[in-house]
Amino acid sequence: MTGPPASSSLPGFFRASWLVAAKDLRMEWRTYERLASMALFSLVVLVIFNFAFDLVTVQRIGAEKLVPGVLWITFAFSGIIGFTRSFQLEHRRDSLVALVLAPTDRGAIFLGKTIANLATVWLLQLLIVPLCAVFFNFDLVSVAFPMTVVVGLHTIGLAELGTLFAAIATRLGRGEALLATLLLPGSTPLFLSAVKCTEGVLKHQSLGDLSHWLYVATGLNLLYLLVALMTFEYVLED
Amino acid sequence: MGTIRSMSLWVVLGAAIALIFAAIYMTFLYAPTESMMGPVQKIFYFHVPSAMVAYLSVFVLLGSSMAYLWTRRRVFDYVAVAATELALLFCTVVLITGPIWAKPAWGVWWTWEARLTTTLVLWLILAACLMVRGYATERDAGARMAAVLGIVAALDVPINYLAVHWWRGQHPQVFGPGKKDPLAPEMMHAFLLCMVAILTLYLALLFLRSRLAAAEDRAQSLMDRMRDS
Amino acid sequence: MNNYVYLFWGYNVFWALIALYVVFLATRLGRVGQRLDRLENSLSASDDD
Repeated sequence: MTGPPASSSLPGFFRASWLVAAKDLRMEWRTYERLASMALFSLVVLVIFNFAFDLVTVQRIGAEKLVPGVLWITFAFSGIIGFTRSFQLEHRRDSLVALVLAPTDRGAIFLGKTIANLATVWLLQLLIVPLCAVFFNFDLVSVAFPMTVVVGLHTIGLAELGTLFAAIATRLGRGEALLATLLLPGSTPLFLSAVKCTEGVLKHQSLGDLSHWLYVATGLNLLYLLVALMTFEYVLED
Repeated sequence: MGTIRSMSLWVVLGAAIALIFAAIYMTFLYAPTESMMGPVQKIFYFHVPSAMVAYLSVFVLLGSSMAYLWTRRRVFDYVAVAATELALLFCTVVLITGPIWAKPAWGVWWTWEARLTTTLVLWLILAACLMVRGYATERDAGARMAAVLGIVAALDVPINYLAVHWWRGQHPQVFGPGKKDPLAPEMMHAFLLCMVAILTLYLALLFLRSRLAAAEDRAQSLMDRMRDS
Repeated sequence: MNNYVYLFWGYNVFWALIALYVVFLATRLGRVGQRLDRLENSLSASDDD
């Protein structure tokens, strides 16, 4: 794969990222393997949560308190599965070396992978959130727009950190377990904000009410992006 | 290169220990007992400086990680390893002495309030950093990954604290504007001495651990040289 | 009186952890020191050949 020459120019950088993302997404489109296993896993987790909390508790606490935690734990863990896969395929075939040798900015590789991961998790969420509404009995339609914004925004940060840590974990020859150990504590502020906002949405608060946390989430997304772009080349280095 | 048997190292450690003994004296005999909490409040003389030293170590980790990635000089990696381990050590101290203090003071071993939660998360991230170092098979790759993680971990600390603080809040405010129960001057003296003692102890350990890392690295390269020759 | 128990254990924890770490450092330093001595001796010996 001959990428564009040294993407020191901004358009070149974005084009390279897009190429990486498109490659990953095209591979995913062909087999659905990654998305399917993530979806099945999420479903299993949702069902397990039903056993984890008994019926009386669920009714007493109410959906708005329970659902945010359930949702975001589900997304975190299925995200972990997805993020690990995004590097493992190349790692197995040693094509990570080829990717690294391509004359592109390493940051572009990061951005491309993150976009692909993000798209995958977003797709997953399109399935899981309505399913959760059915299982836990809350009205999704009335809060559809704020829910989309909140979930979509926080997933960006999750994908950014997840991709960075997945690269580290794969580089060290490890998988999901190490990624989980790194990602979950590392993304705590994002997680907090996500759960807080989701709870607010379910309580029918407007996006304006949640603006405080939304700014925090956006700030975190930017920070993680910057840090990852700057450090990714060190991770991929041989 | 100074050998690990250099005297200065042990002098520093000796000084640290002497200071600690002085600190103990001040804590128990010099500082008056606090009226509200009773003697258990004295844990605070070691708990708080340990927390400060843990955060200082994270800061050192940040600096040395960035320096290592920038210059690739091994010495920064040695300091980074030391800073990670010491941050984890003092973080453990904080997380154990905190609940020991909390039980008589607040009635519970643990609450998920801002500072405790942040410290626990920090502990987890530091443990992960050490784990990553252990997993690496090539020395340089491990150092690089650990450096990247060190940077992320350090940046996470202030963010984490702010986030959890907005989310909850309960920690006893000892220093701060308009607190209702000011410290008696003797308490302040004891506290400052403890701070200095623990800081010196930290610096001594940092020094020692960095030297250990350097020595082990040297031993490894000598072994490689022997194998190759 | 109860209070003193907590205080006692609190300080013990501090000491125990620090002491453990110092012992850990001391043992590893000793071991690597011996290793370095051996390596340097055998290297200088092979250099002399």
